[in-house]
This record gives sequence, C-alpha cells and structure tokens, in this order.
Amino acid sequence: MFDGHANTDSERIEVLLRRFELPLLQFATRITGDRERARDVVQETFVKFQNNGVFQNPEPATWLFTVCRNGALNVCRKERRMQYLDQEIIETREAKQQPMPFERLEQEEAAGFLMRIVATLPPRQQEVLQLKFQNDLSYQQIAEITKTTANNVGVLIHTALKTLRQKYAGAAKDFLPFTPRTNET
Amino acid sequence: MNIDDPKLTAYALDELDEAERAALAQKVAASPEADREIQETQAMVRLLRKEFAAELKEESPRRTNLGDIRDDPWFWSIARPLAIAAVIAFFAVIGLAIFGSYKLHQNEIAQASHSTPASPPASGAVEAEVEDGRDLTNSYTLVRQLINDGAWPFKGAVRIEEMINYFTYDYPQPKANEPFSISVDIATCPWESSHRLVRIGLKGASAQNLRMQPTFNPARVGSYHLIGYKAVNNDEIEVAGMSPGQSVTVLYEIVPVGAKANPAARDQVKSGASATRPAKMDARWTSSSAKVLTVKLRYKKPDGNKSELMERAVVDDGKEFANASPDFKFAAAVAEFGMLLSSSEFKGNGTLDTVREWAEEGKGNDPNGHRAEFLELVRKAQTIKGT
Repeated sequence: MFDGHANTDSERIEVLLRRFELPLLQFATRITGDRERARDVVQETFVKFQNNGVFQNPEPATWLFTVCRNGALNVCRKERRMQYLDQEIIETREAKQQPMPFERLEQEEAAGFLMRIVATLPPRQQEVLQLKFQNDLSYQQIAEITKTTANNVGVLIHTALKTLRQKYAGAAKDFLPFTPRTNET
Repeated sequence: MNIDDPKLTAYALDELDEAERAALAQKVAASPEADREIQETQAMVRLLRKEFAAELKEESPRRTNLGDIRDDPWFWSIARPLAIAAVIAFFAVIGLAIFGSYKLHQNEIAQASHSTPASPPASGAVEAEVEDGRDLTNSYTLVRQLINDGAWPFKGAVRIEEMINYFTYDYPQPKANEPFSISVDIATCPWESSHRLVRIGLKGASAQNLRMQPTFNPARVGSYHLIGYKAVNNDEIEVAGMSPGQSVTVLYEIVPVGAKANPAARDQVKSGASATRPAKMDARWTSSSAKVLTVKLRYKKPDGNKSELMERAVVDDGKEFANASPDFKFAAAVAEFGMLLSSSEFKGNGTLDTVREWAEEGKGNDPNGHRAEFLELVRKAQTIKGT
C-alpha cells in the first residue's frame, strides 16, 4: 500500500500522512465543495486514526476514506450547506449545470477539460470515479467506503464512463469547424 | 453480445474474478464491437487517471505535524486575495484570446451560409491562429493532444479533412486573372492498389468564398468517395473566407470501372447512402473521353453578385504511388492515419507502419517541423496500440 520501512508508530503515521493527505483532501473537497472544511475533515480523520490505533492495519486506505467520507458528510449535514447527506440524497443531488458553449470552448483550451465534464456527473458517480481512478481502490473497497455493493459500484462506474465518453466526444465534435466545410443541406 | 454492460467495463478495468474473466474473454474475442468498446473505455480511463493524478500534483503535500495542520491565518489573509486576483487575470487573458478566435469563426460561418464576400482577415493574434488554415480548434491538434496523453483518440475527435488541412502543401500561385489555382494529381491509392487516389489542391489569390464540385467520367470511374467529411449530402465542398495564399486539400478515392470496390463501399452505392457514389452520366462525357474528372469551381467576385465558374478537366496518366510527389504521399499518409484512428471502413490495407513509410517518403523539406512531429505522433500511436 505504501512504501518505506517505518518501524515506529509515529514514523508509520508520518508515512501514511504523506501518502494519503492529498488524496483525502481532494476526496473531501469534492464532497464538501470547500477546501478549508475539507482540511478540517482530513485532520480529524488522522486524529481518529491515531487515537484508535488502527494504524497497525495493513490496509489503511479503506478505513481512511470511510472515516473521511463520514466526516465530510457530517460537515455538510451540520452546516446544511447542501443535501449531501445520505445515499438517496446523494443520488438525487443535482449535478452542476452543463457549461454553456462559450464556456465550454474556453475550458477545452485550458488543460484538463475532462475534469469539467466529470464535475457535471451525479455526485455518486463522481465519488466512485475518484476512489477508483485517483486512488486505485477496488470495486470491493469502494463498496465498503460508500456503503453499497460491489455490483452497484460497477454500475456507477460503467454509467459514468459511458457518459464521459459521450460528452467528451461531443465536446470534440463541438470544436468549431475548420473550413472547408461541406454543404450540409 | 450486449456491449452496454457493466460487466464489460469491469472486464476492461480488470475487476472480474478469474472465472468470470475467462468466460467473458471468449465472448469478447468473438465480438469486434466489444473489443472496440473495451479499447475506448480503457482510453478514457487512461485520460481520467492522468487528470485525477494532476489534481494531486496541484498542491504539494505540506510538511506539518498532526497537531498543526491548519494554515497560518495571517498568511492567507494576504495570499488569498492575491491568488484570486492572479487567477482572474489569467482567465481574463485566456478568455479574451479565445473569444476573439471564436468570433472570427462565427464570422466565417455566417459568411458561408450567406455566400457574401469575405472581409479581409482580422489582424493580430487571431490571424496567427488561423494562418495557413491551422487553427487551435483543428481536429489534428486534439488528436495530437490525446495521443501525447497516451490515449487512442475517440471517433468523434478524428476529422480526416481537418487533419489533412493542418499541413501546408506546395500549390502554385493563381494566375494573374484568376482567383484560384487548381492542382489535381492522381496516383495509385496506397491502401488499395486497384483504386486511384485523387488530390485536389486549391490556392486562393484573395479572400474568397468558393464552392468546389468534381464530376467523374462514368466511362472510367465506377464509383468514388470523398475522404473525410461526414454527413455529406452532395459532393459540393464549400470553403468560406479563404485568405490570400491559403490552400485547401481534398482527397477522393476512386474505383475505376472494372475494379472491385471494397464491400462497405459497394453497400453504400447500393443503398445510395452517404460517402460513396457511382459516377453518373452527364452530357459532357463521351464514352471515348480520356478525362477522368472535371473540377468545377464556383465563386463570386467581391464586387459582383453573379456566380463565376472555373473548370479544369483532368486525365489520369496512370502514375504509381511510388512516383507521386512528396506532398501527395504525405497527404495520403495523414488520410490513412485518420482512417485507422477512426476504424473507417475505407481504411483498406494500410497500417500504422505503412503510414509512417508514406509520411517518411513524403516528408520533403519540412521547414516548420510539422511533418517530423506527425511521424513522431504515429510512433506514439503504435506504442499506445501495442499496450
């Protein structure tokens, strides 16, 4: 899971912090929509990790992402900032508006326009994509973290990838036409 | 098999257990459609991984103690407004540049649909972007970005006509009293040796709109198709707002009378569907005519409202591909590359290896290094395909 030959607990935690801090921060940011709150959530996650002595766990990723996710959802619930509370609500939470064509053009010129398309997906799909492709977790691990079944994770990822491919190809198609153009009657 | 199946995605991501994987592998082997689906899924996944990884690089991990992860509020009270201002300034500049080019394109489109004379090219940065027909939204630049990112381009990203026209070709200047020069050369089609490949090059003397339409001699041409250009309902190519010195290259693959069309092309002729068409009888052609095609150009002079006509009839002298000009070879290589990337039914017998071979032979002087870059791109595509 991580490299290094940390022997003592503090060294082990240091290694884990280095390994998981940014992935957890990105994950919590996507849920809370706020970098500062995400920082608090990640800090709490590590404090719990230390206090509960689970750092002996050889597979800390699932534990860390689960606790981080719960913490992030709690923040949302407390602040009533949005309805990112539980399963059903996560599923029905509206995805961000699709960018307008002009904005889309601008975004395509900037690096990473794929992530703009990702941001238009339903939150449930976004979080499984992030766990899968940013953190290389298995369907089974993702299922544990997001409290669902591996089958359902498969469906979410499948649906998300399909949508991404369509929108991405669509974005390519929307690139303004180069002359010569044919007469499309 | 059903290709819209989460199992297939799980297979592409190597998430199935051994038994399921083996069972599905057999079905996939028998279905080119499923194989294609897997390739496209994996290409998207490579891109996603790359972009997700970039998110983690945006900010290097802070070296902090567990007890003190918070930032210093004083630092942020100063840094945050500065950072926001910098980001706003950055996007303002980008937005301005892009909006400029967007507007220019909109103008071109408006001109195309109303056939009004083109205005002189805009000045400044925008002009540089569309110089020589190359602009930043060209399909070639997208394909190049994808391949450099390690991804096999999606079908929607590949527009062969735009890829061909990304490159510049050496066409003669128009004669003094003509608004365009028309160059036509014909040689063996390199991906289907019984077919002929026709390259039509137009070069403009002044900013102009034009319509170009070839007609083929049915005594010599069984059927033909225009390379690139999806959803074409007639053969007319419309070029809007051509700037002085700008050129346009169009390729046709023709099936001589007596030669066999490829099966996909035959089906299209039968059904009357898009790209492939039979050559039609026309009063101009006699059965003894040696001409293979006539290129008709229609244009309006900037000060006139009558449409003018230029015509050029062409004889096929039976040139072999090996003896074709470097430009001809290079354009053919780019066309075949596009057809291979998009799995076109017209790709014939070409491979990425032959694309490289033809492009190498067609490299010529390559003053701006674009052709060398293309060769490098084909090599990268081979690596992606091999993985």
